[in-house]
Amino acid sequence: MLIRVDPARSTPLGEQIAASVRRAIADGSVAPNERLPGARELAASLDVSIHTVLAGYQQLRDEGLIELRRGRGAIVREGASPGRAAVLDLARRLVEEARRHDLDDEELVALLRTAL
Amino acid sequence: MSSTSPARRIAFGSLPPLVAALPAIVLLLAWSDRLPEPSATHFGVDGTADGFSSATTLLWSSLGLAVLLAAVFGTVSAARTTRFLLGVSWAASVLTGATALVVVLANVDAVDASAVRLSPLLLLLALVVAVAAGGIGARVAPAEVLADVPVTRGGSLDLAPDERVAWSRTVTSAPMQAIGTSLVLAGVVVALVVQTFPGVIAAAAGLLSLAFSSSRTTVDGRGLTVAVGPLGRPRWHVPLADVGSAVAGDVSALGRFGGYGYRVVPGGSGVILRSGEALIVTRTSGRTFTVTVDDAETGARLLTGLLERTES
Repeated sequence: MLIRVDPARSTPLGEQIAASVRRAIADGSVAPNERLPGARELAASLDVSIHTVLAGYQQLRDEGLIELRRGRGAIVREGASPGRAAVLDLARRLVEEARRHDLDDEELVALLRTAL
Repeated sequence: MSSTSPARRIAFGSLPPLVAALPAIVLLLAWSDRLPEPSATHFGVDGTADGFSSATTLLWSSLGLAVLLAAVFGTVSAARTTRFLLGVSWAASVLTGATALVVVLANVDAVDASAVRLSPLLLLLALVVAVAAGGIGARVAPAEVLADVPVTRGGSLDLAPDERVAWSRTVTSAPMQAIGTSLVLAGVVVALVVQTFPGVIAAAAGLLSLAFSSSRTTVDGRGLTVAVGPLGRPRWHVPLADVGSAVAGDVSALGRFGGYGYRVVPGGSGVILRSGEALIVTRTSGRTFTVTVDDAETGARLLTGLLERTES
């Protein structure tokens, strides 16, 4: 699992961490039931604050990709298949791309509906 | 990792039989007029001679056997050599060479071959020396002869100037888990059915094996870190400043490292939980540190990328 964060980019570091983990689940380099690096360890690895890592992990939990358990750390959920992670990754990138091109949120949702 | 020359591997496999046969062959040639004709060449368990052939036959058969062994071990070693193979090669060579030697020594200056005796103790001694030689053979081979990593993969990852990257993979050792689980189960059964103390010891050893059966390998701006077990202890760290180069390759746990766990071998060390894909770091001191891990290529490319960024 390769986690890359670049302070030079405008995306918050926590989101960059989440995006890296999402892609790692999508490409199979981290499997369901596997433990992610501890927040403290990853923070030290990336030289960021532990809160930044936890913000990223919480985003992944909200997406249903990982479970956060007190004392046991972050574990990739059973149902977090590579395919699901790939779709979530695409969704994030779609939103990012839409914002870059000044599409407002309602326009984007409407666009998605027409595509469904 | 330096590439291994096949010639050196072949030499390491094929020279021991020839060298070990030399003393007997030299004596057979030098003492051709001091050996009875025929000579005693086969002995019963009580040490009396029960088989005879001419000294010339003995010479040719010793030579032929040495050449045959040299050809076999040389051929097997050509592609890749392992400690086990070298041990077998040395032991077999010394056993055949020493046996021929004691036969010649028993025959020399004998008037009647049927009176020649060969103490079985001498053969036992030859066996002990052979086993010892096997142990030495398995130890002495330099890393470049043993290196079974003819194909390594590397390259470097492109990094932005301020980008921070961490690569991390976990590995679980199936052999160590199997050993650990069976020890725990056997220990519990022994403790309940036979005797408490040995059972508890076995179960504890099993738990220890289980505790060391997984590892997390991390590459980041600080270098390479390998943490073993659920507690992340023990751990090994190679600071980025000590990393000379990094590649990915395939290693054999039993062949190259002689087992599982933290292994020290000539030329380096390694945390070896299985055979197969491994990240191989050559320190600036020239020693290697190997850790078995999936997708080692990404780890190697990241380390190389980090090194290149520090240099530029």
